[in-house]
Amino acid sequence: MSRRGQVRGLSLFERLYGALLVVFPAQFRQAYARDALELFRDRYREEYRRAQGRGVLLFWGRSAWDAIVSGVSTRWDRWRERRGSAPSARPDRDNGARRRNPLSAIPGDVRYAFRSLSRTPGFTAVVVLTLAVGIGANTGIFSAVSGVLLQPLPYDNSGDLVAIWTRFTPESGYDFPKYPVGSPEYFDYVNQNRTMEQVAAVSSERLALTDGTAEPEFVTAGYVSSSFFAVLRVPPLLGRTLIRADDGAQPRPVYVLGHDLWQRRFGGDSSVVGGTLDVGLDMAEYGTRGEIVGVMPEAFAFPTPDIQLWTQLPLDPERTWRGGHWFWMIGRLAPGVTYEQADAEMETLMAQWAVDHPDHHVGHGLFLTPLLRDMVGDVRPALLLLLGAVGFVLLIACANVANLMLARSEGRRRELGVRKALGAGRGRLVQQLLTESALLSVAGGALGILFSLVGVRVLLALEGGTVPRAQLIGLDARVLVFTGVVVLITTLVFGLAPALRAGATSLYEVFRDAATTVTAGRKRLRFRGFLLASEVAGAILLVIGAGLMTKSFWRLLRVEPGFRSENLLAVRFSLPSRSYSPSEAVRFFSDLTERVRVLPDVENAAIVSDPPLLRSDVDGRFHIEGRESAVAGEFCCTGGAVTVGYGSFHTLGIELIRGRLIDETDLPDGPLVAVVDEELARRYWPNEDPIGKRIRFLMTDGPWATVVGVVANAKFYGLGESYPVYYHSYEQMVSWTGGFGARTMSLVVRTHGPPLAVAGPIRELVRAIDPDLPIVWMRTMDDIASASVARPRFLMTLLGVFAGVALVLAAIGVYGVISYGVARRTHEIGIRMALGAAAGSVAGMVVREGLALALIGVVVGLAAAVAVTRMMTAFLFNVQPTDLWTYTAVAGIILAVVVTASYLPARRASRVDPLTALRTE
Amino acid sequence: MTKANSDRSEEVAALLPLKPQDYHILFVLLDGERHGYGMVKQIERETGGVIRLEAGNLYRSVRRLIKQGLIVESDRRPAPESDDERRRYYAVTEFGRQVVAAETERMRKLVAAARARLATSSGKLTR
Repeated sequence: MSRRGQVRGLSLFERLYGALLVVFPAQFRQAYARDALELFRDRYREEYRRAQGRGVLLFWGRSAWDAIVSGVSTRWDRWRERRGSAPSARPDRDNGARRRNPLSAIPGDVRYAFRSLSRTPGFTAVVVLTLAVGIGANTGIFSAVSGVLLQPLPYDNSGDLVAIWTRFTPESGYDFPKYPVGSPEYFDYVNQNRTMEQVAAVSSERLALTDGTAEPEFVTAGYVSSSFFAVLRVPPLLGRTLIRADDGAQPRPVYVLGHDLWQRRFGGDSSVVGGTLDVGLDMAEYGTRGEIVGVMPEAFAFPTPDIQLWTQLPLDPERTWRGGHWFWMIGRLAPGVTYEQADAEMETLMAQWAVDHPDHHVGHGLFLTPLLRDMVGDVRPALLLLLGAVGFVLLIACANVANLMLARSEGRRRELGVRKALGAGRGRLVQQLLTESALLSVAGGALGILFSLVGVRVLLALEGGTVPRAQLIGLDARVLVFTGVVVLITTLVFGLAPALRAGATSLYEVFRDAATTVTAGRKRLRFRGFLLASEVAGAILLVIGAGLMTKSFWRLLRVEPGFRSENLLAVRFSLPSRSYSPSEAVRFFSDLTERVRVLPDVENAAIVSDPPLLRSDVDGRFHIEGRESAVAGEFCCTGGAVTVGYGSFHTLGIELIRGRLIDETDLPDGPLVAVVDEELARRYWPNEDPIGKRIRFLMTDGPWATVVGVVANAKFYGLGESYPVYYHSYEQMVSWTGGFGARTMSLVVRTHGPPLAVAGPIRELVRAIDPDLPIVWMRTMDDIASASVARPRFLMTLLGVFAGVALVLAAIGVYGVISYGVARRTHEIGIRMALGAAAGSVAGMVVREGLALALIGVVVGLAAAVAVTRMMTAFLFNVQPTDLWTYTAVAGIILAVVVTASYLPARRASRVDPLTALRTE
Repeated sequence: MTKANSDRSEEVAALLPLKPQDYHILFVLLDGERHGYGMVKQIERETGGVIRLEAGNLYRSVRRLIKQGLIVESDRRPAPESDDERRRYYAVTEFGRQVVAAETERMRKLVAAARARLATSSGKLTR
């Protein structure tokens, strides 16, 4: 003993090594474990003398590996010996029962488990429900992950497809990680790259369709280069797709119909191919009548599921101005080229572009993304976050069930002890208890799948329909395999510990325990304490996640939007160029605005290029008179351009800070005026008065517009954004550009009462002016605002639900463990009370014990949260992932829950009648 | 007797070739009874540290050798002053002795054959 004391760390390493010996068969351990440990000790001392710390660690590693390999080999030896394939000089000492194939006992075990579980329906129901919640949540989230993230795109070798966007970090300091591409960039990349088989340009636009056998309607059309269909490798159902000759700066329009449109408007008539189609295009250089050249097969819709037809994107190879970005690109990797190679080539090209075009490609370059990942976009991190969260929910559920199972096996110790005494091997008992666990988790899994089917539908409804590929979410083979694996792991996680513990029971122990109730449960209690602490830690993590999301959401809602969203209706128009010249469009909008203004219940109405919160296009570069720009003749500055008709600021409720607003005195052909917001003024004229300064936009050689006013910041780009905005007059723009952007505007209407009350009258007015004109959409501003925060609200709600489940499970767990402890110690408590302990001090003792266990969980959980919540940064608005306030509040909540959950058993403990307690012996 | 011997020789042949570590364990035990640590140290010394057995591996071999009847757990103890009664000692059996002899003979032949071949082929190789 004294020798051992001189060698540091021996007892720890020895214990670890001793634990590792379980790899060996039990028989081997009986025969040699003591000797092996002795040898380990000798060798350890030797190594310690020779090399100290590092040598000891190496030695331990070597020994551990040796034990694992030898243990497994010894089991293998034994198996071969039993099969009789290895020479054995002595008969095997194993008894007959052990040598039987353990699998043959399974049907019996299943029957036994059924009987035993049906005898305790309450226990069974609680366990199955707990597991169903855990497994169901995981199955549900995973089915979303599977459908949205894992299901390959339905194209030939879809893994070779990439998306190409630009990343734009303008000098204003804002970062636009996914920004469109312009045509010089497209042609340069097509000509310079060596890694793509084909590259195509892609965009989409809404068109007014009047041909065919139905009402006029808006459909979404894919505007694509002719290589588009070759990149995706999808052949047409009828006719042809686009060919090279269809491309050009001013192409003769041809149309490829989608299957749905062909069926719906043309009755699936194959003779439409070769006919003509009349669509309203808002592009002057673009004819509106074109030939239908082909029909695509069913289910083909790209880039979005609502695309109904395809036509050419007018691309001019001669165009050299690198501003103006309105489409994106897809590409297919050349055979044998990896994504990494293409990505590396892109980086090289961009470095070159930055040198060749410093005006445009410093801080602005193309980049590749695998197409699937691009289409899934920001849903991916959100889904992975949720998957992580439900993983913790399942772990907590498992810990809870493990606790219940332990309690149950405590109750059955006598039964197990007797069975063992009658000759049941340890392995048999373990197998039988594991069968029970497996049965429970299979039942939980089955119920969980049902939960997930319902849950996913609720989830998608809650999310508000912005999840791409949501139609692919369902129970496929991958999801079922996942659930199967989860069930298996669950069984092991919650079933193994109780089973092994029960397997180790001996009759002797059972009776010994019965004689010494006070301390016998200690060891088991320690394990349950560990389970409890991990439940608390998991719950902390989830509640903190939910807390951070809630705080972030609250902050987002408290953002000053800069306009009044209540009682505001927005109506989107896109006038077909076929029937509206620019001046007719101006007349239409002024006519409509006049008539809407006099409707009852309407306070004000005006037109604006986009209602607030809906802008995503940021290509509003402009120039300030006298300001240097990076390259002569280019714009110097970046901001969002909003086109406004007279009365827009009043209607939207955007406050004037200084100067004046754009009004009727600013005649279409008069001096051009502009209004800037505070953010833009602060950024570009930090110490100056912006009023009287001149800016120009849209064209680098366009006329100057004088800044006449400064308004409050209105959130056109979303509540979380603060991008600078400038406003200019609709009538003036149409006049000086000769009709640019005249036809696509939104009408905003401020009402006295509920805004939807005027929806009908407005539709009637529109019909009265032009019976053939469809309204693109009509929404209340409250609806738009609510939809703009749908994603964070969705994440907050879901994390909140998971955190709530975790909290309830943890509370049940704490209650269970503490109750168990109290029950085990009734005798002791009785003695204490008989000796004069006050009821309060007994209750305090019990609560303190619960708190002590929970505190470990709290500390571990907080530490884990600091590490894990960093991954949430992207989802948080104005909240740090290590927000002290949230952490403190959550720790407080958890401790309160623990105190409450341990108070109930504590109160019971304090009411123990000493006489009854002592009589239970 | 001769019949029994020939039977044994078949059994002996069935065990050849021995695993190197088994051979070394038997080889060390030819010297006298030893406990686990003794065997490990002796083997380490004799092989110049090339073969170093850790506990798991050693006892796996011990178990196998006992099953094969090559060694036995010994009841005898060496001189009381050097004895450590916690430890189990092992001794080689008569059958084990025969197996070591047979394995040694097998290796001797192998070594002889290899030498001869190396001698005749060495000229070609250097050229």
